[in-house]
Amino acid sequence: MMSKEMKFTEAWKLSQIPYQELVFKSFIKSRGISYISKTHLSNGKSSNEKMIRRVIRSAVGNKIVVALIIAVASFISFIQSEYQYTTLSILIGSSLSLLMIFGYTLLYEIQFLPSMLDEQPTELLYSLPIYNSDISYILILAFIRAMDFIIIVDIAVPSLLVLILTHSLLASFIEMIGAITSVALATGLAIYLSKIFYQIANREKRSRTESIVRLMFTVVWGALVMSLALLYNYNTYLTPSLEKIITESSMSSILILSSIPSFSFSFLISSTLGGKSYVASYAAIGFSALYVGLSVLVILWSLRTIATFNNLHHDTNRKTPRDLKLVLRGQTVGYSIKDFRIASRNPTTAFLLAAPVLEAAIVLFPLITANVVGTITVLVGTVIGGIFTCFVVIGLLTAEGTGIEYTRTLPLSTNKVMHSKAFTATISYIPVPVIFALLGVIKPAIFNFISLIPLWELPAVAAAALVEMMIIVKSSGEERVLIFNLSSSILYFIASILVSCLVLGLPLVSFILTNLILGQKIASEIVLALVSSAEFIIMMHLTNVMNYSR
Amino acid sequence: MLLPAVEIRDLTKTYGMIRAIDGPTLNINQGEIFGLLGPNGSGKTTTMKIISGILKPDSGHIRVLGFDPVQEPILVKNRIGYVPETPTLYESLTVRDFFEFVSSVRKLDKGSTATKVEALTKAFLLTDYFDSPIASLSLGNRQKVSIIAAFLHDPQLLLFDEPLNGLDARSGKILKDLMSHHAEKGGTVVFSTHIMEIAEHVCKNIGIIYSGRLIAQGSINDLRRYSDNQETLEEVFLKLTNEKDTIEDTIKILKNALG
Repeated sequence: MMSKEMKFTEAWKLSQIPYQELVFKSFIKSRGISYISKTHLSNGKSSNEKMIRRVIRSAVGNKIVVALIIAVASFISFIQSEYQYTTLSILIGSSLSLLMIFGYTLLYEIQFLPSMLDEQPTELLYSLPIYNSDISYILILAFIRAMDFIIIVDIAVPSLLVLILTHSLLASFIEMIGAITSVALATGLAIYLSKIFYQIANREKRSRTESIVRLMFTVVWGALVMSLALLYNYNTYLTPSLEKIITESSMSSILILSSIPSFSFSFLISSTLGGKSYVASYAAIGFSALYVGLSVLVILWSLRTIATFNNLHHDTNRKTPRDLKLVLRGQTVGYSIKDFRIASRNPTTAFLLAAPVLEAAIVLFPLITANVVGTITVLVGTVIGGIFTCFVVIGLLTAEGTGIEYTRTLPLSTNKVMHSKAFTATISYIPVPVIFALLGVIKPAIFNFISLIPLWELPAVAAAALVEMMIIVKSSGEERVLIFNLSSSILYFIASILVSCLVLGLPLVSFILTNLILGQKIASEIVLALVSSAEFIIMMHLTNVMNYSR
Repeated sequence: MLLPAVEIRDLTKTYGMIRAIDGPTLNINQGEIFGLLGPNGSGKTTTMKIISGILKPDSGHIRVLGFDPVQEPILVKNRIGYVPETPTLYESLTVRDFFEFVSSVRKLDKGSTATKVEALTKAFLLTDYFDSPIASLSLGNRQKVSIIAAFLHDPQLLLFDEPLNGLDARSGKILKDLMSHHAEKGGTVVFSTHIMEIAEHVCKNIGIIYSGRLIAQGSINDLRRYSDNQETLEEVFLKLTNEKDTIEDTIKILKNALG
């Protein structure tokens, strides 16, 4: 793998080029070429330098944020347990922190690696007199540059926490090995999944079956990304469950638990701290050794695979299409379908396709155990569904990329684009009223028609999506580029979400107040539906009359 | 009398400290092929973008097919077919997806669009790439996608910014014939190019833009007269932009430097 031609220091220095290229191309993709060329490049050299520095700073900032999330997740894992600083609490804290490290590293890498595959950041180096093996070496180092803070925090934070809590160097060392193993396994899995995503998402459309397979894969991918993003929540639920399993369950359950990568190292730490189960200790030694061995193989495989990223290209095995027919639709639906297609082929926005499924799962989960469909359950489910839709709007704006340059040449007003994106986002909310309507039939409700509240809220959800986009369009300046970069527009993002929440909340507050004043649930529902519809009509009117010049 | 297809007076556009367009005045008649010539960074692309309604000028008067592209950009965009200098398309869409998107947004008729797509796709030898992601296409093939999309809605005005970028000889020839055919039907073509021979053979009138200013316009013969009867358009261009002597000096220096 390592070349004899190039020294490490030289390769490390050169790896800054593909790393910077990757960061810069991703930035251009997320802001649009016109933004860069007109706002920055034309203002002279100093402005260009400032912008490049800003892009690099922004990338470093993103890494620091992810590293902080991992550090906090690790810390929380150790303070969740009721058994403060006992062998059991260390066991649980260590297991969960390793699980968090695995999850968050995987989450970051599966969003970052496909861009590395797509952007081909070392392409330019091939025109220089550098051996291919050296270019692969440089690419590996560029990958390490992209992960540096995160890997350091992944390994250092849990090891230090174990050292501070146990005062045992051995326990801390085992935790460190566990962390390295977790990072290695997460990286291997991320590389494998990214390659599959790249190959499936960029494959030619040859048959309906392949399209369905690709759609299914994207939905599963989206669900995985969203599940990993919600790891913090699992932490709260997992701690008491783990305590119960470890203290009350049979030896076989403990053995099964110790066979899981994150847990095997924790059981080993526990045994060095005087844990009583010899069988679990021996099993933990065996499984830990197994995972260390496996992680060495995974690291070698990962390095080999990253080195071949340069050679992965789009599917060029062409086949004459069955026909040259087009399916034409109206402007709004045509634009929505374009958004849907783009989002499904980008790993960072693919979660949008899973949005309706996840909305359904989030709303359905607390309802399964409920005996009666109550007012609070319905209102909370409706609000959660609505807020989730607002995040879908952000995803849709982020997905545009540089293609927005072409859209600007088409006879399409900004209002129309906003309406089509609001339409697409609102589709992701539809499972919420459907689930409640079905539950209203299956389960007893505290009064008839309560399950229809999410349906009456539908216009308010569309209105909230429109409000959100109006605020974001304001943030994009004179050229009205309908494209959004979260990291550089965070204040607008917060403002847009807050205002959208007000729009979502107003019909529900109207329902509660009317019910309090009149004590009539049906009348309150009618008020809710009227307020929600009024919001939608007002927003449609506002977006239509606002003077967007292009 | 027909309205001019493009009417520009004292147009200006500034980016930060750089004045990209500095007051050109220009009339392009319907039914003509107009070539916009100029060195890199002279303001050709900015002019094209202002005509197409993508960019707003800082000052000046502009009418495109009788409409103001600042006040009525949608009406203008409905009537023009624009091929940008760099085909920044939606990379993850397939060629079929892209044409579906453009045709849907332009609210085109299914039957006539199908006929055009089939004819143009076959003419530009893009059939085998029809279900390929745009990201996998070469520069020339992306340019073809962009050109086909510009013809789908029977535009009155074609705005082509360096349309021959990356095109092979066959496709270049087809495009030039399509431009001539468009003009014969009464349509207008405005295209920018660096290739003097093409401008010389295809264009009825030519405008030379330099540092944001229109330094000459007219037929090839008019331009020859302005430039002391230089023979070729290349010589006319170099004379008018005062680059002839500079270039000769630069070449001497280069020859010495390269040995």
